[in-house]
Amino acid sequence: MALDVKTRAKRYEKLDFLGEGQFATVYKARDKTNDTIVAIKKIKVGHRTEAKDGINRTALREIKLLQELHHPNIIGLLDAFGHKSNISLVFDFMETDLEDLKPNNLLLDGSGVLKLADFGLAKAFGSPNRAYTHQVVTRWYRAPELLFGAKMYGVGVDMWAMGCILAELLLRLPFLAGDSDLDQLTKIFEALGTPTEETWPGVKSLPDYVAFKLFPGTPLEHIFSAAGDDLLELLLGLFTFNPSTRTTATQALKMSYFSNRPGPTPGPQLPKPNCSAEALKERDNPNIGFKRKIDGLETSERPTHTHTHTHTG
Amino acid sequence: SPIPCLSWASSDDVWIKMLNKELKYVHDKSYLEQHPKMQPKMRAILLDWLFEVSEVYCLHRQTAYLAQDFFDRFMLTQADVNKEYLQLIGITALFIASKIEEIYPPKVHEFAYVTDGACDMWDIQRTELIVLKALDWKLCPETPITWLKLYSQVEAQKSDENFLVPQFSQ
Repeated sequence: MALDVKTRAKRYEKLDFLGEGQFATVYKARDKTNDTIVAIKKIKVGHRTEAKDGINRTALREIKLLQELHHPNIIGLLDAFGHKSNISLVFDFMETDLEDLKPNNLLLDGSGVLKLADFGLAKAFGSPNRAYTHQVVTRWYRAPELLFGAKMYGVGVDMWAMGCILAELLLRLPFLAGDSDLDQLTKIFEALGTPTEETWPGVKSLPDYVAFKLFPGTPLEHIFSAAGDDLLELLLGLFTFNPSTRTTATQALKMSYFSNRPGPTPGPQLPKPNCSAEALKERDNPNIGFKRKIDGLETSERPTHTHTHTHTG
Repeated sequence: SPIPCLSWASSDDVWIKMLNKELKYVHDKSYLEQHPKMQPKMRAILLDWLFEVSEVYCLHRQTAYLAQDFFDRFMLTQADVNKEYLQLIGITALFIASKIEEIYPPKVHEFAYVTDGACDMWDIQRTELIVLKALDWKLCPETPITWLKLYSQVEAQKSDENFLVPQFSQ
């Protein structure tokens, strides 16, 4: 085992500290075997009681899923190695941060290709009737059924998160930034109106349901005043309260927003965010990719259409 | 694909994905020949015990079947394992499977506890990484449960009687 860590430590040369999240520290490194730049995500061991339970299960699940997922829009896991309870994941070089569907986990590579990162809390897509934990998805992107404690939920939670991300691209600010679960629901209902048993059958039977003041909601065209009708139609579908009638990924891609002009900007022509001196140096070397956060898109006048398929069957 | 249309995915994709798993996750029942000190009966006893532990800790069936898959594939990568290690390998496989599959997996000391002194927490922790590396971090096999789940979903789409209802001969 010790040998493994030594060989791996020799294989990767640490270059730079990239960032730190709740569960991991990310470094930029060079893979000496093929002279490519990679990102190494070292999972934090946590305190001693946590280390006792061996390899961090969030890391284990992330590895499990990334081993299975091979898609142009999903960040590639190149290697995994560890020693004792320490575990390090090696990724294509891009910037990684926290978990689930939110802007920080949507990365753009040097050619403007969008990549989903961080699958720590992701679950394989299976039968929709299985009980899961509802403590998933960063609060601001969490669907109302999760906030009401639903244990049976499906891909609808990702579509809600997509709606929040799309809204954030338009507003350049998080759309629904609650500071507690209750505040999150209040923010959602203030913006979209309080759901009723008529608009969302079964809402009152959810485990953590509490009655809220009946907010009328604000028409989406008032919140997103620069959005066209096609985009508003998409947002309305994604922000449907009833998870079983909420727009699915397949339905969304068939909506006119994705076929109306102007078409999406080709990836390599996307405007790039302000480059650090280091990144500029890298640009001279075409073999090395750039780290890109999607936040950089705010430099474009209109939101860019990005087609993603999160569930590949 | 022999699977009829599914409401949640393309049935061709599902079928191909599940079959391709068998190419990536190699199973070979002849692995016992690599372990002269092990008898087929020992595997049966170990798996029965793992399923019993799973029941006591109320684990999902998928967890137990994942552990079985991890155990079999691990043994395929090894040679001449001493039978004293079988229980440690087995309980470690269940420990890993629980962390992947369960919402609230039992703690490592709870897995050590059921071995009644045969393995301690540190044995399990140490073995965890050995097993994961031997499996090359491949942790997503198709199991009898994933196949059964697919068949149930196909069946649930039909309007006639559910195939899980026991049928008695007339």
